[in-house]
Amino acid sequence: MVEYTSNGVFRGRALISASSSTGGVRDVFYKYKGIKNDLVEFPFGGKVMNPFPGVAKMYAGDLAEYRVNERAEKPEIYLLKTYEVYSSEGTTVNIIRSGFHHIPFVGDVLTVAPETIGGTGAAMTVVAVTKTKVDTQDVWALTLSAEPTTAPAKGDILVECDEDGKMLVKNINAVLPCDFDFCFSPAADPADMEDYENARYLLTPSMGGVMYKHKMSPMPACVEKFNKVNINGVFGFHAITMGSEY
Amino acid sequence: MAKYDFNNSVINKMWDSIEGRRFTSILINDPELVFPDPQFEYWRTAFPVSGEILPTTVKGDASFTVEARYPTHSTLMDMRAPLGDTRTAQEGQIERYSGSIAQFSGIGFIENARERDDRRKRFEKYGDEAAIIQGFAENVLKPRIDAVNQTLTNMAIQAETTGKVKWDYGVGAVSTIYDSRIPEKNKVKGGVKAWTDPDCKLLDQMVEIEKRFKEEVWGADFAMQWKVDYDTFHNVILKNAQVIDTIKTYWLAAQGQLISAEQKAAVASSIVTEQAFNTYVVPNFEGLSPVKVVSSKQWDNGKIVNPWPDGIAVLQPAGYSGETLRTDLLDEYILTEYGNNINSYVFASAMNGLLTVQNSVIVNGNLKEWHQDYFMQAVPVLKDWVWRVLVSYKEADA
Repeated sequence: MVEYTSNGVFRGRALISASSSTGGVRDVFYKYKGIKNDLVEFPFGGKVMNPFPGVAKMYAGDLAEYRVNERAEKPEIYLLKTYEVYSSEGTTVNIIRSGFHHIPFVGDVLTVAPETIGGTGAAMTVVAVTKTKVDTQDVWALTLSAEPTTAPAKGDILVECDEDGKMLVKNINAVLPCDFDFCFSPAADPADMEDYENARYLLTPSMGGVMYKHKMSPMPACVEKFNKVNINGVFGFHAITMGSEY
Repeated sequence: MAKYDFNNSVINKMWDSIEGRRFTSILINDPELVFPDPQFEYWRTAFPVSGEILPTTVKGDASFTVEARYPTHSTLMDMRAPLGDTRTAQEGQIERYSGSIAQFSGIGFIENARERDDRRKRFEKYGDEAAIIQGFAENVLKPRIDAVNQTLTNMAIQAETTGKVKWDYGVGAVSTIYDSRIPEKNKVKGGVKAWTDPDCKLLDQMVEIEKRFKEEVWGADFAMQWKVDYDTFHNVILKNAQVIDTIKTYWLAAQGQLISAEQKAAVASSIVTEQAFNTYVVPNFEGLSPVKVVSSKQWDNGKIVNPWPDGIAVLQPAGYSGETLRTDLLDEYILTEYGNNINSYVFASAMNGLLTVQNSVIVNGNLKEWHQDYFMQAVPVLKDWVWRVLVSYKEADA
């Protein structure tokens, strides 16, 4: 059921408590003067094919794939979600938890980012997610369904993949121009045209952007290859690079 | 100086930052200039536009909830002895569903500076703005208005014949939109015989279905109507022996003729038409509700599509099936509030506020470029789904 529209009566006492903090604004976009042409929208926008299974957030400057067929039609949006490994042991992988990191969910299938985008790694299925602390670092402790053959090392970036370990995002050509909060329970499979329950998200990303690398979500090496900016610490590209853009 | 000033022409004024909204509205809303194809306007007869604009929340949804209440049946009383207690029963069943308004775009129009200058030079040479406007209305505006009508009609038919609306047409995003969940008990077969069977007593079977739902299933009596697609009406209903016989009988009666098998055989079958059905069958066949024939086909990228499922006839309450709900357009808000000062954006509304036309002048190199884009954020929302019977007429009752 879409949460916003749930209704009902509970003649008892519901004690509701929640807390959050907004960690201030982090200006991810690189500041420079000159005529910019980043905030150009793709035709149609598209349906997000890998929304978060629960309430979560994508950040301004996050990357995505605007995937279309060979006629540039029927667009689908694949968000690049990244998780930074802090430590791992056995079936537990601790990933960094802060106000600026994507949130993991039970059921996520992750892999250490392969060398090439869309490549294959070892798939790890998350069966439990616990909020905890390792040393002084806030982490999400992920419990995996099986111990990975090679334990992810500190600093490794995990990305979403299918059950065979194939990375979900196959191209990087889109930038989110602002934060997007995913507030509803999404449909189990957004591609299922027979399932009408729950939420589907449609959004239009921008064709390009120039960002401070250290303010972006952690980025695997296979994504860094898309950088077209020749300034240390800055990441940028434009989906239509025909000359004047970058 | 040319005899005719292009800068003051209506075509040019559509992109004018001050007068553009008015000129665009006048042009696009002029039914004598832009005459929409009536075959695509079926949605208006079933889902009138809601006067209210459903706002989009900051969470990104423009959701609606529709409720329907089943009538609580009365029952015969229980005989009792003094001091005996009473029984209770289930009352007040409510069905509801929620959905959200989806957004659609039409084919865009684009004209670069040199194309525009070509138009200007022709205008100045011939000075006949009426012809230019008529050409623009026919080639640009009309197909886009028709596109809106086709899209709404397609969704309206999906809702009426399945209770569900999804979008996998066009070349943009595809998604499910809502499912009103028509009760399973409302999905029935044709009756004793399949309607396609030449011996089927079609009219009796239709009346039988109506009677059963009113008396036995719902226990409520109200005006109903049948809806069938063009193919069903012409290839099934008008081909049925009982229908043909009934038409001929009452046609002969209307002519003051003797009604006999020989006389009927002598009547040409060319009198069996949609009009004859409405004139001679519906008023004379007791218990049969009027039959509305829906033109259900649309064009999608050069292909004919038909959202009406094969072999389905619909029995529904008379009158509207629901409402077309609409929401606001984020593009208009963002570009009006935050658009840069180099490009200019003008928004105009058409078709009872369903269609927003965005006229923009965009920078392209050293020159300008003129764009016109068409957006609709509306869906037909089904409101009578608990009283809607879907008859799978190619199947006979087991």
